[in-house]
Amino acid sequence: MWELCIASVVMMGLSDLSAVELKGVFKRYSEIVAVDYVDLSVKAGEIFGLLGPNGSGKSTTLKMLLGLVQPDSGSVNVLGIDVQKDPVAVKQKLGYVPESPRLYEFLTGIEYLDFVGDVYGMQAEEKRSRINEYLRGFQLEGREGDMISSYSEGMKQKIALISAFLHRPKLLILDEPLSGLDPRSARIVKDFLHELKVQGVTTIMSTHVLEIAQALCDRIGIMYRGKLLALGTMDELRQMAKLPDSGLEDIFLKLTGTSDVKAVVEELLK
Amino acid sequence: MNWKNVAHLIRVDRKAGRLVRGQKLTKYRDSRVITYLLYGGALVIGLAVGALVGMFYESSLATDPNLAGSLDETLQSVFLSLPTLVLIYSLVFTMFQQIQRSGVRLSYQAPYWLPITWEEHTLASVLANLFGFPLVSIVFIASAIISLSVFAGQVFSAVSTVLVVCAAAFMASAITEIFRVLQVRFVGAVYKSTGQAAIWVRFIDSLLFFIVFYFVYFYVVYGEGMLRFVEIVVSGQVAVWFVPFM
Repeated sequence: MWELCIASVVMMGLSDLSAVELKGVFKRYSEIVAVDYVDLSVKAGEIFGLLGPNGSGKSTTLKMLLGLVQPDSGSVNVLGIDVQKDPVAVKQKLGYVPESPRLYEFLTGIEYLDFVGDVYGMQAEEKRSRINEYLRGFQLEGREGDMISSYSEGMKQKIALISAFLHRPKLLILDEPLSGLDPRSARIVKDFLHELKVQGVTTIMSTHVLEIAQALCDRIGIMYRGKLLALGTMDELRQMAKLPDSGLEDIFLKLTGTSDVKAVVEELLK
Repeated sequence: MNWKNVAHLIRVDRKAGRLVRGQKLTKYRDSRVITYLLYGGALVIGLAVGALVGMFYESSLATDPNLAGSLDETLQSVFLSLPTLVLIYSLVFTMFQQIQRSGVRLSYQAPYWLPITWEEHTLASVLANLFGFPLVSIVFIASAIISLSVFAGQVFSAVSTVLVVCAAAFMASAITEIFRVLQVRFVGAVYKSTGQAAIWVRFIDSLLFFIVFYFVYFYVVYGEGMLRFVEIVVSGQVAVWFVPFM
């Protein structure tokens, strides 16, 4: 009985812990402000969606979490590690899928996954069995020996996803993870992310497909012109936008001030 | 520096030539036997050639002991010239490899999101450039001169030469790597404004690199710079008069 209580207290405590913490993060590319003093905290075990129009600063923010982009000011802390001080340690603990993954086209699918497993320091047996499981799950069996250059965009995306999941990271950073995937594989990824959440894995994803964000994410952050415009659960976002029964698309368009879609379409039809 | 990462990256980089060669794969993995056969062959042939020359050296001395001085002097000159020779042909070969790769649209930049540092990636790329012909020739030269030095009693000189030869080859590959990085940045900037012309830019700046390198090399070695370079090119063209250059 006591053990159960202690376990639930520990779980409650874990859910309050921050997997990712950005404080006063600012980044400028010459004249353009990409990220404008953003404060953000993502809890451990949460699926967090980062939305925003093109050029709103989503990808720069995600790249800062990996230490690929250095902020001009502010601090970025991932899984308790200061990213600026030890980016390699952070990369070791997370899985990342970039928006357009540039894979080694001259390797076969299995060679690439083998290489990724080796870089993450996986044991040979474990690596082999997981690669086989994922290849089977994503219906890549039979094509793993072909060079990646011969793969379709969807197949390359599957390889990128497998390489992010392979070492069972505590944090996943996914930039448009379902891009190019067939419906079955997209469903597998969604269900898989849900299962990982139960196991305490944190996921931060960026997507333009708002239905996916609405269905998948516990909390959503909307970025616009480098600022974090809105942050919260679907209900909280509805309250902020004063659109009580609306979906994420309407909320997004209202909050980002881009709800002039009808006028634009009419203009185009002239 | 994680040396395991360097080893993994070298293995990956060595496969970059597949797309250049238009290779179709029939097996999951490359055969290690075939990969190392070339180096093993170079080692055996090098030892054999060294031993043959060593035996010739011994028999020459047996016939005429007065030859000892001139033979040793010749051997020392050969040992001294080898690092420069290796530097030049390693540079030419690794540069040609880069030119060949530049014609194929492929990514051989390490996925930047993996836990690999730029130092590991650069070292792996430099070492990977040496695989193939440069390393085969180094294995051949090293085994030949060490084998020969046993007969000639110049083991210390031979081992020192091997070390300097390795350093020269590494230096050549490092120069190529630096040039490649600069070229990627420069061509990347040019590509945005000129599109396909960037391929020509890459080709022309590679040629310019060679010309500048030869000017500097001949100036340092012979102190004559451009004149010596032009003389060598002309004499080379005269020697191969049957090749229609134009």
